[in-house]
Amino acid sequence: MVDSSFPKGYAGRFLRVDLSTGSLTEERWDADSLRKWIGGTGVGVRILYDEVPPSVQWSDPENRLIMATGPLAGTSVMGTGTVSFVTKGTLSGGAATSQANGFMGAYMKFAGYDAVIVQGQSPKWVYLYLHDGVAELRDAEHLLGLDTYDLQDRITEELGKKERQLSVLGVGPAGEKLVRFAAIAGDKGHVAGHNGTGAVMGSKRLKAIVAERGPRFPIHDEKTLKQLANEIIEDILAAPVARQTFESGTQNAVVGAEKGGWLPVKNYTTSLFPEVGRFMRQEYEKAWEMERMPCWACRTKHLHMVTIKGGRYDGFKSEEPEYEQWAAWGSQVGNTDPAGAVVLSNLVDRLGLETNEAGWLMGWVIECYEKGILTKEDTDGLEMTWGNVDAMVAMLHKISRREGIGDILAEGVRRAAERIGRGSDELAIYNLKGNSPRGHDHRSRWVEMVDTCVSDTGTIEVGPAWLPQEQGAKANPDPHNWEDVAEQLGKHNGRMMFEDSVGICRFTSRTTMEKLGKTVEAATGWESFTGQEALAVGRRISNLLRVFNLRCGLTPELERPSKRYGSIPVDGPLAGKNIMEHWDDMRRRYYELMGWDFATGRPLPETLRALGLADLIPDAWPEAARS
Amino acid sequence: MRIRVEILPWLSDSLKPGTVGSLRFEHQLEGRTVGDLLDELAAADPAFERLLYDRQARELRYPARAIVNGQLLEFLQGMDTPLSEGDTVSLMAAYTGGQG
Repeated sequence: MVDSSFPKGYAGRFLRVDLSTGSLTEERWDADSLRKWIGGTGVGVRILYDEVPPSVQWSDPENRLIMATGPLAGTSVMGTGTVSFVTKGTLSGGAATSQANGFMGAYMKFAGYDAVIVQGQSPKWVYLYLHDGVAELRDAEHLLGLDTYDLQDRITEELGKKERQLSVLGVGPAGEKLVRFAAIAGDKGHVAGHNGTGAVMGSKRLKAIVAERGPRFPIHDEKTLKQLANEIIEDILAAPVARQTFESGTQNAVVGAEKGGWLPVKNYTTSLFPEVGRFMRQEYEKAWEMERMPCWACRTKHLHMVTIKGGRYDGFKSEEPEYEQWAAWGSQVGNTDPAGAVVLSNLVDRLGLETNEAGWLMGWVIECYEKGILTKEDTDGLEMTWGNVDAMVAMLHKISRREGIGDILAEGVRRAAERIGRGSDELAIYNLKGNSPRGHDHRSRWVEMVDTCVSDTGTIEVGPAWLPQEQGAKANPDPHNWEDVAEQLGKHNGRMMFEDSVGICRFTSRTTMEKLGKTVEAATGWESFTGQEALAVGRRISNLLRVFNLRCGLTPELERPSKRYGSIPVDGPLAGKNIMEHWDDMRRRYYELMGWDFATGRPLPETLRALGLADLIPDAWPEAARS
Repeated sequence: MRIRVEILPWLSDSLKPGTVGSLRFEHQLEGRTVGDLLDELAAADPAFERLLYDRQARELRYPARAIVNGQLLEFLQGMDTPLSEGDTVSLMAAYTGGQG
């Protein structure tokens, strides 16, 4: 039954699923706690912290996998189909938070649920079906082996529904085999994949979560919310970057990235990729068929299905790769054929792998092969050379089945390099916590390398500053000035965590924090929900994540890039520039702005108190608590 | 002198709606530096000033950055970087990130 203590804007149900026993129970959250944590990532991280002690490993049944969305999801605000997954991750050994756009964030609320907390391990494979305020566990043994696209089609057919009546997020073969960088994917190309969310889902023998579209939930002030939704679109159209993402997606970012030196090329062995122009939409759209495929309530021209015309992949249909997929399956692996990149990108989504980690892994394997560190015997006969799409297709299948060398590579870049040895670690791109970065050459994007290394999410935590001056940072930061970099991160931290808690896409939230706060106010009826409060919610989440990770063994020594990740570019605009000269200065300043102790990386007691997290002080400072 | 100007995606559509890729044109420069070039472009096009370049502060607006013949402006002489006939000045958005 819908809980009347939930404010408007919520579906009114949190569902707990114990897969060991098959029990499904509903839980209450009071309005004060919801205002403090909102939903999505915030709710997920609070549950993770309270229920997963450090002794629990990612694959233990006691680990939790929380899927949650927030009060904006499923509303008239553009791009509010977003859902967040939170768990103890596989790569970093700490928390994982990752989001998927598409439809799930909206449909799970239409089905009656704001959050699903999964625990235990099912004796056999099942999927969770949410519809009409009812939750059911259904047999999924017959779905094993299906990739994430076919999984959606099969479940849709079995339930007798039409394609857009259901959102299906699940694991492909990689998640079933506990590939450490397996992703949760669905809605044909939407992925919540960072830090092994799919491996955790696979460890629980949960093949998919399915939500069915149903009636809307009540909104506090629909008229104001619609007005704010229109204002956000106007803000987006008025701002460079936001406007172009609205008009043509992320794809064309490749050309600026190459020019600026942050397109990853051949595993950081160069920064030059003269063939980049082929990956521009205006080039391939001349030949290929393109069909718009927007997410929930989205008016952007961002996402499309493409059908390749001509050549050896004639007729191949896939979601159009995003920037990071072009980067991973084009320049990073030395592939100059966009059609081949579409095939690789689609395969990775279907197998249920996280595209960035997979791309860094493949580029590293190829460089090792080219340098003789790996031989044809090691690669089970595959010619792992730059741009060899067929060999990469075969290798990705081997990884997803953990077959031959694929079993080692399934552990991700850092662990595979440790296993293979022979100097291969010198070439491997990762942060010392264990996860690989996003799809850029961060030696030219200092802000993002620092973000990747000091993050507590298993991927970036702060992201690029949107309107940095709104948080009191310099309006026009110099991307290669260490003080500007640290300030941008330290003052902007909180925005992304807030966005990921309300259920909105990154590309449709490009407005002021103040306005985002007003949308939450309009949806829920919470009085005076300001941008300042919104940022405080986000910083509260960041600090909770930090203490969770400290409990799991995080130390500041781990907040650094690997040797290759932090190396000096040999060419391109940043040739000869060394980010590591400034590393400790940037980290020190960032910690300072976050209110953390430099020596230990721990949030200071006064920082925790100011955010309403005094209950964490004994965990953050156990020595003081004991004395 | 003639200078090649290139406005890359993520900035180009804002400057000239409907542009999908890069916007390329030549500019007859009356001054001699990158700052002079940007001043002249801003004087000729209010959208350029509003979106990409703050003439008063003499700086590009976040997140726009400039590359001169493949080199980042901040590693040259900034706005005082001298230009020569046939040089290429590219403007791009130094912005990365995405869904977490």
